[in-house]
Formats: sequence, C-alpha cells, structure tokens
Amino acid sequence: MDEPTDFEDPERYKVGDETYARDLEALKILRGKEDPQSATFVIANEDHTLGNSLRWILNRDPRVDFCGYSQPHPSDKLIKLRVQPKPVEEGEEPVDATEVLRDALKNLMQMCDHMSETMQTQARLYRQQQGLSIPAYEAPEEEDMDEEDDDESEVAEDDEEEQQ
Amino acid sequence: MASFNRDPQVRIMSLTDSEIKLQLSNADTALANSFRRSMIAEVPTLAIDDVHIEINTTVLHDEFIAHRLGLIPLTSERAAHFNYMRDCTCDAGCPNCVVKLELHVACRDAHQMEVTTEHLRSTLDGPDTSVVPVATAAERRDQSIQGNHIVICKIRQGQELKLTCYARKGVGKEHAKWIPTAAVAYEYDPDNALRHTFYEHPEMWPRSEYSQLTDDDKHEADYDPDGTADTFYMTVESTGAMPPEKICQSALESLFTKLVDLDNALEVLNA
Repeated sequence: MDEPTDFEDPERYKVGDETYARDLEALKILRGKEDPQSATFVIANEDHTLGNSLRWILNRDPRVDFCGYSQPHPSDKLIKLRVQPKPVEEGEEPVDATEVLRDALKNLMQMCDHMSETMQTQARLYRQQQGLSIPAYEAPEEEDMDEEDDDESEVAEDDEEEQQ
Repeated sequence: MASFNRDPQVRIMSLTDSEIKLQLSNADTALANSFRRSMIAEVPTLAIDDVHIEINTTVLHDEFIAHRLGLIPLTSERAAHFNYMRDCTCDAGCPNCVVKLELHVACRDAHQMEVTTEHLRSTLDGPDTSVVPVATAAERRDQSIQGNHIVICKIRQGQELKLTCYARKGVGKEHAKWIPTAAVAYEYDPDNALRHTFYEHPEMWPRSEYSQLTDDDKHEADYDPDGTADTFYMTVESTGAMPPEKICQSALESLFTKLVDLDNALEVLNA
C-alpha cells in the first residue's frame, strides 16, 4: 500500500477490544495471612488453555499439596490459580508457591519446545519418505535461521532412524 | 526442581495439504486439550476485517456482503510477520499490519454472473509473499485444481459491486473468521479399555481406525483398571489458510509465548 488508508476512525483499533481486558494487571498474587507460602495467582487474559495444563503439571509436582484453577466468570478475562505447597518439616526451607509455579512453567515450556521440534522433524521426515515437495514457507529465506534448523533436524532425524 | 522425564512424543501418521493426523503420546488430556484449544483460538491468521463499499447494486445488502468477505480464508503463512493493527506503530494501517484487496465486478450482459474470490485483487501478491484467497493460491500451486472459488454473490445485468477490503491479523478467539482449522479432533483409548464410556452393544460400534484389536470377534478391549489416557490421536483439518503442520507449530508457539509472558510477569513481581 502506497497511500495511507482512509479509515473513518482509526482510533477504534487502538483501544481494547472485547477479546482482551487491557485495564487488568497481567498478574496479581493474592496471599492469606495464615499460610504465607501459598498463593492465588490472578492471571489476566488467560483461560482454560493455560489454566488446565498448569493445574495438571502442578499437581504432578510432589511439593504441591493442592492446586486448582477457575475462570470465575466467562465474561471476566482472567483465571485464578491456587497453589498450596506442602507444609515442610521444622528446620527445612519453606517452598514458596511462586517458585513451584515457575518450575511448572519451565516444565511446560520444555514440553512445548520438544513437541514443536519433533513435529518439525517428523513433518520433514514424512515428506522425504513420501517424496513430497517442500512447501514454500520452508524454503530458505532468512538464511541464518534456516541453516540452523537444517542442522538440528538432520541430527534429530538420525536419532529417529537409530531408534527405529 | 521437580522434572518429569517423559517428554510428549509426536508422530505424524499422515499429512496432506489440508489435513494432518498425528499421534501424541506420553501426554495427558490437559496437554492435548490445550494444544487443541490453542490451534483453534490462538493461531494468528489474516482475514478481511474492514470493507469499504463504493458501489453495491446487487440484491445483497452491504453488511451481508461484508460478513461474507470476512469469512473468506486468506493464505496466512506469513501472518507471523505481520503486526496486530492495534500494536502497530502506524496511525491508520501500513503494509506491516494491513493487506488491501480490491474488487470491482459489473454484469453487462443478460446472464447471471457469479462474483467470486477470483475477482478479489490483493495488493500483496507475489511469488512468496502473497496474501490471497486460498482457492487462488491452490490454483497457482496446482493447475488441475480449478473452480474452487467461493461465491460472494450472484449478479445480473446492470448490477455492479465495487469495494475495497482491508485484511488484518487476528486470532480465533476474537472472531471465528480468524480460525485456521476446519476441524480439530482427538481420540484416546480407541478400544475403550478404560471404560470411560459404556457400550451397551459393543458389536454395534464401528471400530476405530486406531484400534489395536486383532481378533475380529472382539469389539472392545478388556477393562484396564490401572490404565490412564496418555496417547492421543489427533486430526487437524485446515481451512487452507495455513498448511496443517504449520497450524500445529504456530499453536505450540502461542502456548510457549503464554508461558514465557507469565514467567516474566512472575519475575517482575518477585524482583
């Protein structure tokens, strides 16, 4: 586009829309007095996509006593995630909910990363095996990045073959 | 740090231009469902979001046509390189956040004529950077695929349609027109070994394509009281806006971004 477009009111795209609550803080941490290492995380603009996976992975952590989440109302663009670490023996360092949650996030990130990598490798492998053409978006464009990708996938493909 | 030595495994069972079937193992319903939700609602694509109508003497009113235009899938492989218009530094649309498509069709003779996506002319149209209706892209890719264009409206002699569309980046949770998938499904436990459902007449149920039963007389696996759902057979069908494996990739990237954002927010609050 050469000339600027003549939208009647361009400002309407700048203000928040109905999908995202822009006036909310991204994250709030609520804590009670009696149980200081537990916390409720109020996460804005998230839903079950993140909440359910986080609950699953937190519940698998042996340090977690209780973990649950809820979306209080479908119109509220937020979820509340409650994390209660296990009480520790005397003399031990208490585990904080924040620490547990950050570990959970790292675990999930690893999983996403791993799935993404295997997916890419598998797609290439599948195309090779079936003699399909490489789609245009995988053609070299940003050269540096693609070269790296290629190297990685070759190594990974070798691993695959060894396993089989 | 507690870690789990069981990374989810992905295996592609079949892959075409429009559909991917994959097996996700060492996972959990929570992960499979997040993956599915992310593919539907969180993958950025491009769709027509603003329509300026100059001439409309067709039988359909302006809003009707604008709505139809919005739902046309556009090739969105390069959506990741676009900015959301609300985040863009420009004032009212620039090549980094908007793609302009134009349409001008008039019927001059005494026959009914179809206005289709073929008549949409994109300003971003080139060998690898094109943002065009998917049928146009399919035609260019493979000459044998012809005539799959979506009808926008039908016109007769003397009727005319002239308009300018602005396509923008968005995600499915904002409006369904940005959803890149036509159908996403997953199944687990194809032989009902976990008894999560009750078959009153197991012999009347069609066997799953992923069934591991070898005995033809058997219609249901033996009950496995200790089993858990950890293998998922997913089918992802694309609208054509993106290749199906790209949708999967993009969905995982979106999930990853969510996690990173939350981690950063935690770090800021703890600092």
